Parts: sequence; C-alpha cells; structure tokens
Amino acid sequence: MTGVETRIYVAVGEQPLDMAGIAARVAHPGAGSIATFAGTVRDNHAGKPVAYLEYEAYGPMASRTLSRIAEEAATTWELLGVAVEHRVGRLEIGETSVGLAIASAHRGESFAALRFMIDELKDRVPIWKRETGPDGSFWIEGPELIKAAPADNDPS
Amino acid sequence: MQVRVRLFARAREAYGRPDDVLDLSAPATPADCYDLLAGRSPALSRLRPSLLVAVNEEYAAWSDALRDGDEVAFIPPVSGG
Repeated sequence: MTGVETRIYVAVGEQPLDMAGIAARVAHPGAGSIATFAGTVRDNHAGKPVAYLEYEAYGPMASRTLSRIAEEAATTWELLGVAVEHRVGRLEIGETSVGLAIASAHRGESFAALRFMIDELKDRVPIWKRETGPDGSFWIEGPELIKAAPADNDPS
Repeated sequence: MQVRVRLFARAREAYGRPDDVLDLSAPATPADCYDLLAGRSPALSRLRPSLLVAVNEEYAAWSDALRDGDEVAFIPPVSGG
C-alpha cells in the first residue's frame, strides 16, 4: 500500500454541511472503513445556556492549515481519502459546524487519523466561535469566555 | 513598504475594523505592525499576550522580516470545531 496517493478535500464556507456528501467524497474501492465525525452546536457551554454560535474564519489560511493537517495524517497513516469541511457564519443548536470523513483499508487507521485531525483542527486552524446566550455574546478562548461586543441581532 | 494587516475575532472587535494597510520603513516586523495598531487602539494593545501572528497565511514569529506586499494577520486563541 505504500505510495498510495491520499485524496484530500478541504472546504470552509457558509453552506450547511451534508455528512453523507462529505463521506461520499472519500469513497474508494480499496476502502474497508470510512470513519466520520460531525461537530455539532450544543445548547450549553460551561454551565450556561447557548442560543446560537457564530463562526469566523481566516478563510484562506484555514483551508491551507486544514490541508496541511490532512497531509500530516496521510504521512502517518495509510489513508485513501480525507474530506474536511468547516462552516462559518451563524449556526443554530444542533447544526453541524465541522464534518470529517476519512477512508482507509482498515478501521484502525481511519479512527486514529480522525481523532488526530479534529484535535489538530481545534489547536491550529484559524477559526473562532462566538457564543450568544441570555448573558450576551462571548468569544471562546480555550476554557475562557470573553465578553464580546453586542451582535447586530442581539435583542438588547 | 506597504503591508496589509488583518484582524480576527476579538482582535477585530478591539481594533474596530477587520483590516488595514500600513506604510512602514524597512526593516519591519509583525511586532512593528502590531505596535502601530496598538497605538491607535488601547483595547487591542491589551491582547498582545494572547495573540499569534501569521505572515502570508503561515504562522510566523513576531520578529520575522517583512517584505513589501506581505499580509500580516493577528490571531487570537482559535476555537474552531
């Protein structure tokens, strides 16, 4: 299997994410496993209710960094395909903010690469989330919530 | 030389706009760009310890030498996913 080229697809945009479509991008006749991960918008954070999230990205750098992470995963594990999409803009509770699909011959590689990729994404990719709830809007910076400027559509 | 600066998330809110164009005399670094912006925005100046910097869409050092036409971005702690 050495020398297999990994197909990599990366997108950052405002369109709603379709997990089936993301998984279809990595379909491969040599694949015995397609592992997928969907990050979804939760209705609470740090013990407080959340009404919605707004994601902001440094688009070109986010795409470039995601591609690099996918290439790193492909050099560590034998992967047949990697697809990752991250959404930006306002997302409601339950919507998918990030979708990942990884194809490999056997499940071990795709499970391991999936975990690696979402961890690296959260660590390195220039995307930010701003959370709005009853107490206003906050930038999420690691464990910290930082009070943000009022959003245009805040009821106040 | 001229560089374009971009600010995101909390840094964008602090500075009050998402980008700017700076005229600098060479040699110049991302730290020089930041000092210019922070001089205009006390709110931004308080964020320095938490910011990373990127030049032309790659993470960079505050002391890297800039070239005419570079794009310098100030990156608060990321929270994608």
